[in-house]
Amino acid sequence: MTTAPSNPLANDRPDPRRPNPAAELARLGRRRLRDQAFYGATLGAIGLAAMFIVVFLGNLIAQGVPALRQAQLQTTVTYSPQTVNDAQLAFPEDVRDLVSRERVREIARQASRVRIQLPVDLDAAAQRRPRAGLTDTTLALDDFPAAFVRLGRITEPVAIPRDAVLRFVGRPGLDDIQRAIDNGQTGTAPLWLWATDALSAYVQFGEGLSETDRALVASLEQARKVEQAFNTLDYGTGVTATEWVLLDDDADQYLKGYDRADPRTYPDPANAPLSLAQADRIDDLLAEGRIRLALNTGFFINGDSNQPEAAGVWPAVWGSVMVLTIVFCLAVPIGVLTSIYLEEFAPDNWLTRTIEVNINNLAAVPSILFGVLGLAALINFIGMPRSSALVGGATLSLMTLPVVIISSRAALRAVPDSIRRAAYAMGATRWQVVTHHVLPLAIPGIMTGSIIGIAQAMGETAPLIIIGLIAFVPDAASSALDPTTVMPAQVFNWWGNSQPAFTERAALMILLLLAVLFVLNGVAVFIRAKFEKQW
Amino acid sequence: MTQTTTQSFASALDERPAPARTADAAADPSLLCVKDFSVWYGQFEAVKKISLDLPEQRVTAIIGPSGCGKSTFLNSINRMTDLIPGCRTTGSLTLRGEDVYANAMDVVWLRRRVGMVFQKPNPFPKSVYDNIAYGPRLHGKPRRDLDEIVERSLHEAGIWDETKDRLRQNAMSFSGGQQQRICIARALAVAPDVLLLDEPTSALDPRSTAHVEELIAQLRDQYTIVIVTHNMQQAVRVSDRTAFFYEGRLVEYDTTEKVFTDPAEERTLNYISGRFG
Repeated sequence: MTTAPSNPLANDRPDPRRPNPAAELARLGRRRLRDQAFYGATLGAIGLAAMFIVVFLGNLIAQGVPALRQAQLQTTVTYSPQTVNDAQLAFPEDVRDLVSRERVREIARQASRVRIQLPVDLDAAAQRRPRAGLTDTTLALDDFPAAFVRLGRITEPVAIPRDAVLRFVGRPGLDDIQRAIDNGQTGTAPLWLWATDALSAYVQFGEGLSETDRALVASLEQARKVEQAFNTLDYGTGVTATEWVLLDDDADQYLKGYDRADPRTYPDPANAPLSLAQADRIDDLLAEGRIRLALNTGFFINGDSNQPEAAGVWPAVWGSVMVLTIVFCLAVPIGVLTSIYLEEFAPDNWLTRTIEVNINNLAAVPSILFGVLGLAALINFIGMPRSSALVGGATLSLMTLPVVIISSRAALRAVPDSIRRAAYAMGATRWQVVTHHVLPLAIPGIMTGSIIGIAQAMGETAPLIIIGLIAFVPDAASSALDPTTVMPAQVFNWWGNSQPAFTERAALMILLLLAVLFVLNGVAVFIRAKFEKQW
Repeated sequence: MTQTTTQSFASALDERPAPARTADAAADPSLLCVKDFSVWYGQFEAVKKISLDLPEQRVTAIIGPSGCGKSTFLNSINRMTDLIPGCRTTGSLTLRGEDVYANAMDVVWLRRRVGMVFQKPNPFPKSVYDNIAYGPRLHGKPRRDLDEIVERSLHEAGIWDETKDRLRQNAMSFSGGQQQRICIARALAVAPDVLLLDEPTSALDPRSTAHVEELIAQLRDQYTIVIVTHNMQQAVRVSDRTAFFYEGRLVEYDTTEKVFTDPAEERTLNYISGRFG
């Protein structure tokens, strides 16, 4: 403080800037070492990451790839009147317990067909044509079982108008009438007639028909005027065919050589999925060439099923396609327009800045909260149908929007101002500057960001669980309003199932999901590379 | 030293090509009238109450040290300053008697008549043809005229020979000097009344600079040009009149001969002789 600053050039000490080889080289050695250690740490990190990926993918491939094949059994299938009551009887006794339950159910459906008993005016039918014999019908109280009437379920006769009768009776039913005429029957007689496909489908699967027709069919069923009979139309008095049918999942797992499915290695043979006798029989059938592992095409085209060997991914894939289309159509236009407004038009004031901060915050909100929002706002308030692709797409759009906005803004900001100024100086309006110059140059960046946002939405499960997109969906949804499921939700469902064949399929589905994500990201990279910066 | 400096300018003045027209051509003596004109960036007054008249069919150079407001003034002539948030003006600036900053002035119509070329060449990342045809297309010129407009503009900008076989090629693939002349051609394609050049050669090498200067010499007979430059030799070579800006004020505005050989103001003399700036 007291001495004035001295001139360093005036004092006679050596210049401190000169190199000190001994100390500096020793220090250099330590610096090099630290450099090497740093390099090693980065290398270790990437090695560890790569190892995780290899283990993860390897595990999935080991588990999922066997699901590409599915065991089938060659057997005779007999469609006979007994199969209507017990479809298992369609199969020979020695393989009955090895056949997929799904195939048994299918045979039950195929072997039976719905008949409906109606009074037919055979004279009118004989004079003109069979249709003329069908008239309005009334189910009197006498037609119903006494118990119904006593309980007051049926209090008055049910009138069935002729047009409904015609909707219920198909062409084969009219043939029945003709046959009765040919047999010489006259007068009005109650005849059992084959029902139309629509009525059959309703009785067998509960699908189709209008509300009023359903009510009429319910009355007919209660009056025992509807029955399922052996389908003589297709199978005559009985048909025996030889075909390859799906094998039950336990047998399938045993054939694929898993210890967990083999009664010989199972810790508690009494509780093993297969008995020793069944395992021996499978081995014999395999030796005879009556069992094979074939390409599992059903996995790709079937719907979900409670029998793993028949379960497929198609409704989930279709659901994902619908949901992602909705996300693309909602999130991309709204996001791009928002970012254009914020980047090109918005004045720089507190409101704009508040919006910006909130958009950035939204991108970090846990995705499950968007599910809660979707449930509260879209389902409960607006009233969108639960479990539908529409509500799933709308919810995921909310989640994807911030990602699209942030990446679009970055892309717009990357367009140099000099291009905007050049266009403005030529007398372009704001709209022209944006559409002629800024947007075309920003499109690659916008598309890349949007695709990555959509890929993220595709893998999202948590919000969809809340809005019900994990429903059991045996058939692909026919519209965006019908219940559906999506690929990650299907994985979630299957993985949680105790049957190992479901886990196997879930692993294969994860691989499918990863492949689609890989393709989507590849497209993003391709777009970015194709439209490299031009300025 | 001052004497030698002004003498070197004088020799440069003698060397420059004589204008085709006579000095007192019957041109509008005041195409652009500026009166008590100020430009503000928020609280900062970048251009302070300047007044000057720019005559038609002359090249006017604006010189001055960095930050003296000359580019700001140039940008305010075609209201490019509108793009800067918080920028406002006071005073009057009229183009052919029309108030540029009046509410009734359509800024698109203004910029269609006042073309601009920037410091850094900024062609659109499109073909040469689309660059030149952009202005005419914006302003609704019929498609059948476009070929002629493009050819004329490129001729006027002296780059036709270099581009005639590459019209469909991206303008970004040309050299910096060529890009700048393409930008000039783009501005000429709508035949503006006034052409504003904002340090058009400062990003170019000497050869390209010479090209652009030649070009300005050729254009001086057809257009009213305002050029901002840091290069005083360039101002001498290309301009008829020179305005010297200093700290936002217009210090001196006179014919180029007068400003560079016999400046009225001490500060002008100091600047052109290289004592500051």
